[in-house]
Amino acid sequence: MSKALTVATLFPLATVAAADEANASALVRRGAARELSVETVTVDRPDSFVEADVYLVGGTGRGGVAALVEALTSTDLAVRVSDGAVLLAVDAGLDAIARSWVDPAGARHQGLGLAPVTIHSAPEVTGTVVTRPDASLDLPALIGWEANDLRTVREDGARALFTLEVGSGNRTDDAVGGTTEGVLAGSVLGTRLHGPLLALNPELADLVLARATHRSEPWPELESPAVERARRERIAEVRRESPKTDWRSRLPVPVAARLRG
Amino acid sequence: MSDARDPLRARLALATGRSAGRLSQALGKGSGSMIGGRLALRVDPQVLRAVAGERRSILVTGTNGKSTVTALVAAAITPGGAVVSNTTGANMTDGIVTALSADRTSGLAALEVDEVYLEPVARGTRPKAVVVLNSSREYTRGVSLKSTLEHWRRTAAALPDDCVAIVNVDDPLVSWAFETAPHRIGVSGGLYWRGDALICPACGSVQDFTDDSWSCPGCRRSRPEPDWKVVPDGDGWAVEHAGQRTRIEVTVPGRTGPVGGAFALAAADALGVDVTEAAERVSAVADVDGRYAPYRLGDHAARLLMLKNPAGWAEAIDVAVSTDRPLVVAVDPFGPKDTATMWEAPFQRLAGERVAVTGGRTADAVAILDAAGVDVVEAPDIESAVRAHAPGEVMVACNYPAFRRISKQFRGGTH
Repeated sequence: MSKALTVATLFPLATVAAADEANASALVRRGAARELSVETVTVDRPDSFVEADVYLVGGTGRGGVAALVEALTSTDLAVRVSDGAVLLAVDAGLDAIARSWVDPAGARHQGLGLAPVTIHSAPEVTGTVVTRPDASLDLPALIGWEANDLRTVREDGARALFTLEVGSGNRTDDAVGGTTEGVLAGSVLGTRLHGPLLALNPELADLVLARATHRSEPWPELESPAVERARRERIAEVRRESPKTDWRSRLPVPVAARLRG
Repeated sequence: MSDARDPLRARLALATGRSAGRLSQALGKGSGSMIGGRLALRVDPQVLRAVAGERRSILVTGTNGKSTVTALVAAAITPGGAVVSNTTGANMTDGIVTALSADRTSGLAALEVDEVYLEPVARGTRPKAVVVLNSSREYTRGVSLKSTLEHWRRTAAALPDDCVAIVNVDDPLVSWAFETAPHRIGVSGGLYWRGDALICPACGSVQDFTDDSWSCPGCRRSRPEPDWKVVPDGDGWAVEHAGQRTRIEVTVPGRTGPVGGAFALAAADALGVDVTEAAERVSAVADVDGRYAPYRLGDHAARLLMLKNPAGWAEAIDVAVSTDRPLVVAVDPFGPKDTATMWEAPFQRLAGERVAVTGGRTADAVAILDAAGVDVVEAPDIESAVRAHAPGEVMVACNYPAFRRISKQFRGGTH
């Protein structure tokens, strides 16, 4: 193992479990396959905060976000992120690192401001999400889940993390066409897609590892047949159940846009 | 049934509930086990108090194992008189109202209670004992573990003076939540899932765990000495209490059986039932809702386990490892996130071992087990999955829909 990385899961008990804690072990596995030795730490109180290369903050539900913001504020997370540490913020985690978010009563609160987004109330959506392939991030079509009553508005021209073939995503109107999901700003990846996202989508784990190791060239090809098969079956099932999608929507965005004329 | 002593409003509430339950059954909408209670509560929120009456009740709550332990408690207390229990698993206030209103005469009650409904049910039934099994996060509802623990702590503080909380002292979260109870009795049988209990709920410090105990370096809390303790006894298990050792035979596999049995004995003791007699009744429980009786398949015997969260899977893995039984994993489709939480279960404990996989979500299970380094074999159906292992007893760990399907299929042959 040539390089050692530390992955810290932050305050997992503050929010409602969203089955996203397997993301840390997914980074360990993918790291091992990439000859990176990855160590994991769980931080559950501000004074046990550690210097890490990757921070994971997640969970769901809006009840715990205030506590999460409070806990995160008393750590050096902002400093670490501005120094280039990768932050993957999922659902309630994305609310906490947003510029502002809304609580269940509709009141607006300040977030940590690590991601250039504001969060607004919206009707509830739940379901399985399929992303479109993205050559710029070296990602194939991925699978994920969304369950939220929020609209995520990107600011300062920040790009979305994904565009979606199936799913509701950020629920903002985007000029590019296509449904956007999450935000990618510097070393911060924000998304609503919870569950074992990195375990189900090893290429996304690769992206996190590449950013954490400041690697710019693409990773060598690495197959994970068991995970790929599970994802293929799940995507096929979603496509069967969502008649809205046609073959065009499965293409990368620029190609689809050109076809639409 | 109504009783002439019930307040008028409760009688009206029960009559409404009864007709709704019958209507629901007649329309084939279900067993009528919830709708009746729900309407009765709408008419009179105090109706639970009326139907509970003067009975001596034992409540059983926790994240995992409630139905099983409730069945063991119901058996253990039978020497004390007739017992009513919500055996259908309808474990919220409405289901409990329905169960208690269908049987107004039994003097004892063993009630499974959803962890989020403990406060209203405790207020309505004024129990003699509350059994608290364990606490881990649920993924299917929007309640955080923290708020459940705070709810328990409030409930514990308001329990009647003659009520004992019979708690799993190996679980630091449960132990903390029931500190405020008027009386607390400790049961020790091991904690399989520490993932949610690493941090002290009282002070936020990281707890120190040893193999069989825990302590908090921050607030100096530590595992209370257990009053009831599960210990190995020859090739089986026994429960130690007050210097006495009671052998316990439960068909429930692994430690789950004797630990559930220990809770049942403690509950029986709290009602003044003789412990030896209670142990005989517990040992006579052959099955709970089709879950544990072994099914014969030629030279194999299959035991089913039903699991719904990482703590449950951790326990199933522990059963397989500790009893040295081979494992079959059977998972069927059950909504979008049906297999998501399995990624958090410690399957790496089975690394290098052969596990057979079957069901509609085979691809997911293969991916999860493969990632944990398990030697996975796929099987087209449950029989071939079981037969992928050497003859003898095989543990079949199922998610909910696979459990329903397979137990029905196995029972179909014999009943």
